[in-house]
Amino acid sequence: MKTKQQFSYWNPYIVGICIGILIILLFVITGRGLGAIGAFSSVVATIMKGIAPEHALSNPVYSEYISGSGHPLKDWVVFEIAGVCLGGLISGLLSRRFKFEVIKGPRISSINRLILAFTGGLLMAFAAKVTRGCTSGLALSGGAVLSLGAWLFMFSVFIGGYSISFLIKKVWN
Amino acid sequence: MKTNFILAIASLIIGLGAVFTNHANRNNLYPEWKYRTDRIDQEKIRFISANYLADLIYRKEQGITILDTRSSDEYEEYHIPTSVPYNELHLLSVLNSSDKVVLYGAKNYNYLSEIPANLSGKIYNLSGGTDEWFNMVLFPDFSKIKVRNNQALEKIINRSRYFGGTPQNIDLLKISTRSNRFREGC
Amino acid sequence: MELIIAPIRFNYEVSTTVILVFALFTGLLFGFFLEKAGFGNASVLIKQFYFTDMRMFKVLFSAIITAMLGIFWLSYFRILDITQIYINGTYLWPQILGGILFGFGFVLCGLCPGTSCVAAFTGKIDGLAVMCGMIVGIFIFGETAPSMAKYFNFSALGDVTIYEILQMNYGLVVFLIVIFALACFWLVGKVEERFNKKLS
Repeated sequence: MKTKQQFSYWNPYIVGICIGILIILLFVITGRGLGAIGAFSSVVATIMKGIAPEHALSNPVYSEYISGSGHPLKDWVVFEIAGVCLGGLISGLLSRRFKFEVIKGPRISSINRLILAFTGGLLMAFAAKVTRGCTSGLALSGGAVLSLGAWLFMFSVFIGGYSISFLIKKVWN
Repeated sequence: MKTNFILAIASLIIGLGAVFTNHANRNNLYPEWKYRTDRIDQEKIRFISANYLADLIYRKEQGITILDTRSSDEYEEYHIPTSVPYNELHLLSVLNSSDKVVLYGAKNYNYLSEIPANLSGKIYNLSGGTDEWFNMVLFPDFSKIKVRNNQALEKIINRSRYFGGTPQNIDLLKISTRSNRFREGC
Repeated sequence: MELIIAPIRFNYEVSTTVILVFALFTGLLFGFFLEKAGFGNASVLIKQFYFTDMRMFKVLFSAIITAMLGIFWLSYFRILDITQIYINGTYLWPQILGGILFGFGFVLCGLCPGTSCVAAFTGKIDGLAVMCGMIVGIFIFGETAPSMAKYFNFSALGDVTIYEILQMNYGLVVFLIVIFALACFWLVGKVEERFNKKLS
């Protein structure tokens, strides 16, 4: 997708190698891989701690994030996702791909696309909590260390995606 | 396309080199392993790790008999708790009555040839012998042992005290168990 | 024989501030690369599931094999201590079934959790919708999960790796995965050609 003013995308293999080198660097310095869902969980746990502290502490899903000694937002994954946002912003501005729009196909309205995106996000977050990881944390970093669950998860994501993609073709074209 | 081709060939060569390494055994890749099978003089010998044996005794697991094949003086000086002296005559009946039989202190593996094939799957040798038992269970030296987190540390200390030993060099413990670790995971 | 210097954080004193700044820097690079690959745009990611542009597969797998080879060789030369790195736990059935559900959600919105942040911060409103949906999704999980905890903790196997469970040589598994990935890349190129020819 290349207009006269935008820059073209990089070769996907080069990007993959760059991300792979980043993951190696990460393991060498911190001994852990990437993460994404942990940041959202920390945010939700912080919100719940502000609204209903006793409920949050008694619930094992939230207490995992708020029972430590430090502030729950002072966590590795939260800072990493903050960096991801910034990095995406910088790259978008540099490649002139920054634009306020809703990405959708021509046969669907914006509001329906946003509703579907919201539902998709809901399902993804629920599934990511069930599997204890998302694509960047489990499939990428877990796949690199050959964790069994990571590889099974990766195959399941592709199976699940392909099995439903032809049902909702209307959204995109 | 040419860069893709070069990258593919490079990754193939780097991956091919990996086949000829004996990485896992060289680097002690399985610190928490329970059982392992090795081939010694064409015999398949089963080993159990000292860590796992200690856990089984700690949890009071039934059906395991531990046999000490050393001399009776050595047995009296120290033997692994719940172990009994090895007696050739009673070996078969012990094999029939327990789920697993663990032998330690053996000088060679010749006794294995006398066991009928259907019972030989129950026999395990203690990997590393009594030295390993002392180093890993009774007197774990934390300047050498690496521990992943605080729960593992507590478990090793409690287990060592349960068997009557003392942990060594806790203050020289590797940094990874200090409390400034972040929550791991995605 | 005792060369091990990595993971640096576990073998040397490193303050948490440095680690957090490093996390920010890492995220910066990660977000930059994701956006440069085109994943800030959901229509690029979703083409993966219609076989017309298999970028996500290519990026994912090439990242995995690069990282896997790097970790293998660094740990072979005893620069990285492989018993100290974090290996994701395996929960067999939750991860298989949850993966399928994750695939459903992925195709519904066209973005994964990491790329949704990139999309939201390059102006795409649907990225923002995905982020809000994820927050609500975690809230729903928090409210419903504790009563069904035994289903979510079912079949936990611990930190099991592929070579451990198949009792294979680590290097052999690495090589087989490299071969598998290269074959997939070739196949995926052919599939792309065929589906793009069908469209145009």
